[in-house]
Amino acid sequence: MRKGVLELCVLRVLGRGEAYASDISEALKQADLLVVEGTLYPLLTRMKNAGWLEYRWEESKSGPPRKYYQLTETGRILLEALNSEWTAFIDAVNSLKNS
Amino acid sequence: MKKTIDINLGGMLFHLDEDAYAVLSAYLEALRRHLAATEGREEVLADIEARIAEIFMQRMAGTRQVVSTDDVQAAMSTLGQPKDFAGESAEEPAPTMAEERSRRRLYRDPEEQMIGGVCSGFASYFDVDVVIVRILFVLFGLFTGFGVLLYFILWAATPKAVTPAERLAMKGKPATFDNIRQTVEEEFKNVEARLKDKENHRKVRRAAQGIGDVITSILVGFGRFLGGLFLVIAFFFGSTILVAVFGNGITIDGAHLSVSELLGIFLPAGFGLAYFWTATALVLVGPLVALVLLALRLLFRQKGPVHRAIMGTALMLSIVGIALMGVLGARFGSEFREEATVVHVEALPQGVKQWTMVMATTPVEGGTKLHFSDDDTDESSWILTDSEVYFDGIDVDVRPTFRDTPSLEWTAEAQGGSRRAARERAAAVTYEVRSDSTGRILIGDLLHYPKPDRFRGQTVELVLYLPVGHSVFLDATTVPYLDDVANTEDIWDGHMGGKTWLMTEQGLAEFK
Repeated sequence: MRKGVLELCVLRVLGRGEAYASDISEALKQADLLVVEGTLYPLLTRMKNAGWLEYRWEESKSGPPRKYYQLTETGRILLEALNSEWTAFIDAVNSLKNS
Repeated sequence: MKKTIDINLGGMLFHLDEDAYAVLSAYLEALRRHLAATEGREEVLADIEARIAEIFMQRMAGTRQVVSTDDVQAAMSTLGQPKDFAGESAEEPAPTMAEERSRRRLYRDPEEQMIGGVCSGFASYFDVDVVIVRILFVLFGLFTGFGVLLYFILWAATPKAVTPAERLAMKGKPATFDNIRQTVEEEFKNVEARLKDKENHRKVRRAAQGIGDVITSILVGFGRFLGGLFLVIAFFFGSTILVAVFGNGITIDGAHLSVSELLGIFLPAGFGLAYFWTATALVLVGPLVALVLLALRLLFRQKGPVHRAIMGTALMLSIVGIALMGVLGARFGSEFREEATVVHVEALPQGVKQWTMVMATTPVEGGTKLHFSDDDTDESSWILTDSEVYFDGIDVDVRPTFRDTPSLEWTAEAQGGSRRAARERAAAVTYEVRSDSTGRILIGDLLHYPKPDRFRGQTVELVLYLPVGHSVFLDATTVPYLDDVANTEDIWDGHMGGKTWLMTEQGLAEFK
């Protein structure tokens, strides 16, 4: 389950605007959703290959050129679909808590 | 002081000290393995390398020049261990014993070596005490000599475990960061301990200065010398056994087996035993090395083209050996090119009509007896004395004659490089046949000729020509020498002994 959630989280972070791997990892870490950064790289490559993400190179002063990721059109549609699915899912689970 | 190693990470140059390099390369190797089944692995690894480069850059902050183990560890704790990569793969089950073994590779262990580290490598691979392996090798080397040869081949063929990753593979541990760190730490401790040892050693030496020192060095030198001598002796012992192995199939009645003597009567003039054995050994080098390499591959999963040079050399030596054998074979064959015979007619007593044929033992003084089969029915027995070759290549036949009197003839046959050489050899064949007035014919069981003639197909054919009305009793001793003696009832040679045979108009018939 966690795997699917992590993908949604990456999509949400990128929904706010383009970012490079360290930014994404920082955001996820702050939300206590990611433990180690290494997890992110295979995930990003897979999502990019699936056509949800695209990236552009940007020169960096503090190291090698960085890959800045952003959502593709497909990625944006997927994000919206997953968002509503997620809300429905949370509502369903929460409804059990109160009854 | 530490050596540094230059690496290229994400297109940037870094100087890593040795330890940092070992840890980082093991980490990247572990990642590579972890991501084996992941799509776009190379791209992921490139991304991770770029990130490591970035972390290094940040930590160096333009002031330091060399990346240390601390920097590598910082990068690794940010990126995480492969096993912490959540969600990417289900929890890996603990490796079973078989898997544990499958990760192991056979290496030579330079840390524990006595000679080349072969035994200690084996000990690590099989998880047994190195002393046991050494004893086995020494015993094997002592009793067959192949142990020594095998050791040297293994020495050449087995890689040395140099890097921490290789040392772990040798001991069967997967090359994860924790294991590598453990090994590196152990190594440091070892070095420390060794340094302390040396310090102690020095103190001891100082205390036992002078004569004790001299004695120690003499003993050490003597021990080395003995060790070397032992190796050489074991090698020659092994070669001798190899010779004996090649002599297999020859049963020995004499006091000792001498393959070299037998070879001496086969090898062409000008080709010594040294030539023969050198060629044989060279021919064997290729297959032997190939077998060992193959065994290593099958048993210990050794990989890579490392052994191509060894195999190529071995193959070349084998080809040289085959060429040498070819020259020998051609020369040997040429000495059988021509054939010649010399006929001897033996006198027989007058007035006798009933004959008896008996084999007589040819007297031989000393010599080595060799024969190629268990029964004496075949012409395959040699006795080699200092000057003569005795051989039982004798065929006996009884044939009809149209003359009034019987006759006894023996024909010596031999081969050689020229007709002349063949004739000279045939003429040099000596054979004993005697007869007395009672009609008893004693025929020798061995022909002989001078040793320098070698074995070049020297044989004797003895024929008793009988007129019609004469008879012959073939003693049982003649049976092994009878050669397709024609008779009216087509009785096989083996059943003709111990019977009297009468020459009739139709041929030889059993006389009852």
